[in-house]
Amino acid sequence: MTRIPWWAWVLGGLALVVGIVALVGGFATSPAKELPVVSLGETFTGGELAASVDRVYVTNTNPDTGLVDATVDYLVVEATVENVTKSPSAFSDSVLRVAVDGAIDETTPPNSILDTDRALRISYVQPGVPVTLSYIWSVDAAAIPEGTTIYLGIFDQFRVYGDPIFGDGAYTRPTVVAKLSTVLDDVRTAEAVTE
Amino acid sequence: MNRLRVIAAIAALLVIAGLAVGTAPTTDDDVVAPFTVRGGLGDTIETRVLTVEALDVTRAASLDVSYFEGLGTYPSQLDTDANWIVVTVRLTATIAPVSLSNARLSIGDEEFRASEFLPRPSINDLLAGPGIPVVGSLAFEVSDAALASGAAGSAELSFPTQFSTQLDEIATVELDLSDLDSVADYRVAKAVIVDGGE
Repeated sequence: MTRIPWWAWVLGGLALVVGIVALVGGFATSPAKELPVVSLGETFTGGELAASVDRVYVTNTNPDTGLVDATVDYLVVEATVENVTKSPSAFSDSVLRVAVDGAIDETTPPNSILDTDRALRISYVQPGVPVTLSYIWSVDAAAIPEGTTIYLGIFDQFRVYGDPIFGDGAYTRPTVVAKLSTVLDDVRTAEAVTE
Repeated sequence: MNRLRVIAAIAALLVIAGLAVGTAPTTDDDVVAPFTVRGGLGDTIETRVLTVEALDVTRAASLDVSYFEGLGTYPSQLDTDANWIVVTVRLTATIAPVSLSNARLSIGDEEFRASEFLPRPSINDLLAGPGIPVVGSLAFEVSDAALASGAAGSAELSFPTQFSTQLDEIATVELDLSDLDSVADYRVAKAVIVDGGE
């Protein structure tokens, strides 16, 4: 019986390692997956909410109070949101974020969220009952010029199973799952009056 | 004879052990599950922390909430493209004031939370002391699909009084929502403290 030389063992081992590495994708940098891009009015359905951004505008009338303030503008994102689960969802406060160069950071939550039709603050969405929500960020007056491009992210959260504290009832932090950009609709009125 | 007695005793023990194992809670959640105290419309349901009686249930397309008493303005009508289910309840706390903000309407496996849109004074704002009855309404915005489902005939309105309900008693009212005619406009009355003898 012929004895296998030592270098054949080494070469064989190397070939095995290279083969396994090649099998799982090699050493190439894993390409970042492009986020799905949705357009205005298009619905993106996540695990908890289905959301579509319908309109983005800036106004100097406070949508919460109806008052006009010369020093403040309000960026308003109108979205239709439907809870696709079987129980009330409070995730509507995290499903949308905006990024506006020099004005709003993408981690900044809205100052308020209104049920648009009722003009009332809302903190949870009932299952199977679509609502139109206004996400409102207040910014310094004129901080967002007319024609500015607004970048929006739609977020989702994912169930965590077997959490040592919360068991199967925990969720991940909100994660961006889709994006869109649009040019601002400017509805600021000229007769701004400081209240 | 002694052997027969031993065999019978062992068999009896096995049956008892089998029953114990068969009826034991299977999950940790079952071990600490709340105790449900049930009743129907008009029944007085008594739990550790509250006594509750559902007086009336109505289905409506719009709510007249012009009773609003507070600073600022408030819409006088609350419309919906879905349905309002309004349940009028008489509530009496037994130990300390309780909030109904966790009240839930279950239709099959769907669960609806009491609307946050009823203006002041709603039954959630009138946290009366023990022994003082309060009458007010809870409104639930419910989808057409839920009301059209077969489960609408055996809906349940439950009153957990705190976020964690482990081993607590929960008053639950069984409601038939399947045959409710929808009224166009329902006038919601503000919550009031009522005479205990009423």
